[in-house]
Amino acid sequence: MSPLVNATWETIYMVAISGFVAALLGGALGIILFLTAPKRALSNAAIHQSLGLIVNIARSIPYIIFMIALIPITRLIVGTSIGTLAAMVPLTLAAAPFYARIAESAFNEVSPGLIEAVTAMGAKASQLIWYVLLPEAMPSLIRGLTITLIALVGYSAMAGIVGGGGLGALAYHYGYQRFDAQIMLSTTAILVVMVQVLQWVGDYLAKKLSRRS
Amino acid sequence: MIKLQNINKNYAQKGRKITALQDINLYVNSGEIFGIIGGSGAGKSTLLRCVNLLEEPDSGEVIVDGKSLLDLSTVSLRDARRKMGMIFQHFNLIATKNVFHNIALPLKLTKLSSKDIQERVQELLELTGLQGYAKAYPHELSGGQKQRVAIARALAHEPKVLLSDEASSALDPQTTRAILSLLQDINQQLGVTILLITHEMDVIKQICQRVAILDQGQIIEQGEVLDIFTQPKHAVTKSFVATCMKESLPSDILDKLHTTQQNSNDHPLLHLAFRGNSAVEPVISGLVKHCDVMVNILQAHLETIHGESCGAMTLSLENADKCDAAVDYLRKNGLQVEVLGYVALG
Repeated sequence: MSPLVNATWETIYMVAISGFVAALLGGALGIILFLTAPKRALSNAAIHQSLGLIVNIARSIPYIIFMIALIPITRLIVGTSIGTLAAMVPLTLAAAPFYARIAESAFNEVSPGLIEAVTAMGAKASQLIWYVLLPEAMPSLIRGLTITLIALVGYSAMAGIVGGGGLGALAYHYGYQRFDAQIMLSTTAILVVMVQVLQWVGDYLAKKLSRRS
Repeated sequence: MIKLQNINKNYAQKGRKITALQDINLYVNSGEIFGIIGGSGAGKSTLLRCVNLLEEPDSGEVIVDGKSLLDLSTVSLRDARRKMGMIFQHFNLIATKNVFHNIALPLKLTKLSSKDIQERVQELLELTGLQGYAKAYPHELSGGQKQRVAIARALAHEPKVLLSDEASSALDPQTTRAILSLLQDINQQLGVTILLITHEMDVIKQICQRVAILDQGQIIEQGEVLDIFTQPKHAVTKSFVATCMKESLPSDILDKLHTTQQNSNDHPLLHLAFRGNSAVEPVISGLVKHCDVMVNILQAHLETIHGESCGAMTLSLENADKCDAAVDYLRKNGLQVEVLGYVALG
């Protein structure tokens, strides 16, 4: 069963690292998208619209094409386009804009009255982010991260087909190419469990942090 | 303390220009509670937000504590805003933070040590009667308690000015009274100048010294609350005063009211307003004797505003021909008299 355990760890590793980096990048993008919108603290139409366009373009490309199109950039960053490490580059770059939109909508849910109150207190934009936007949006940000991580589990399986590691590669090479039904079923079962655990943890954290009756 | 000069503010909505505020001039003295009353859409919210520049006026001057806010840099404006507290109808607390951290928020925006913050929050909790609630979350509190948290938060930096945006409008009458008297205590004990907006004349009556009436973006009347109550000039002001004095006549009488006398059994209906200690009973008795007229009191209401009583009364006269003489007599005795019209009673 060693290849299965190995592949499981690779998937967890890929999803965790790319999810973490995507959350940071996408979260920052989401904050910029939110604050540069009209009538916001740092409203700037040029930045808002160009960032919005980049995010939309990245999100409109199907992942399988995105991944292949990104091979030269992947090579530039990690030196190779094959393996787990290489798979994490397109995973991160696909998940970041996805999460940016989720984060932006989470910030949009923060009460405008509260933002007004904090502005009236004389808060800087950085203080508004740190003391109000992040804590108030945190439950939604966590729910959004759960969705992103689950999407990443799916993307990471696709990465396996073009030379990435993980459960996707295992299922493809053993399950599909060698007709190994047992491996096919096992990888599927592991993926199901993985998604269930992610959803459960995400729901638990979001509920714990929401503090609303 | 607060001086608004020639404030104008327009909005563009679907290409149309909408005037929100028109040539507003307002002066709020240091240490007073000043009320702005208006119906919905009158522009009072925009006007209040012009004071701390949450809304920037198109033209005019905003001077708070001697500083012209429109001339300040971003950094100086932030400092000026710290010296102005603001409270809201819907409290605007951070739902994910407890009472302590909500009150501490404005303090954390400056470089205060956590020990100083701890002490200051403790003082504010005591001031607003929230001892023991430091660890509670907003959703565990009643509306009145949430507004107390918001008031404590607004007072964190010992502001000279407190702006109140319909602070009691989401509360029940009893809680409203408690919150208003807390505001009054803060005004008297800490000397904080309060500028409040409301759509309820009761709020004005309870705590304001002076009032401005805003209608369609313009101040149509302003002055001492007692004067406005007893001598409202503008129709909008009269209707606000009437809501508070509970002087709406029964609809069956209103339906029968004519502006002119239509037949001989129509009785003139008079509205009297009076203030001060001029007791009204001798005046009415005098009216009966002096003008030889029968009087029927339909409605009367007495209020005490800042220790002085004022009131209003609606009465009908049995003899229409004595109407002019009766009005003369009442006016000579210091009452505000208005002939509402003629009605056939009974």
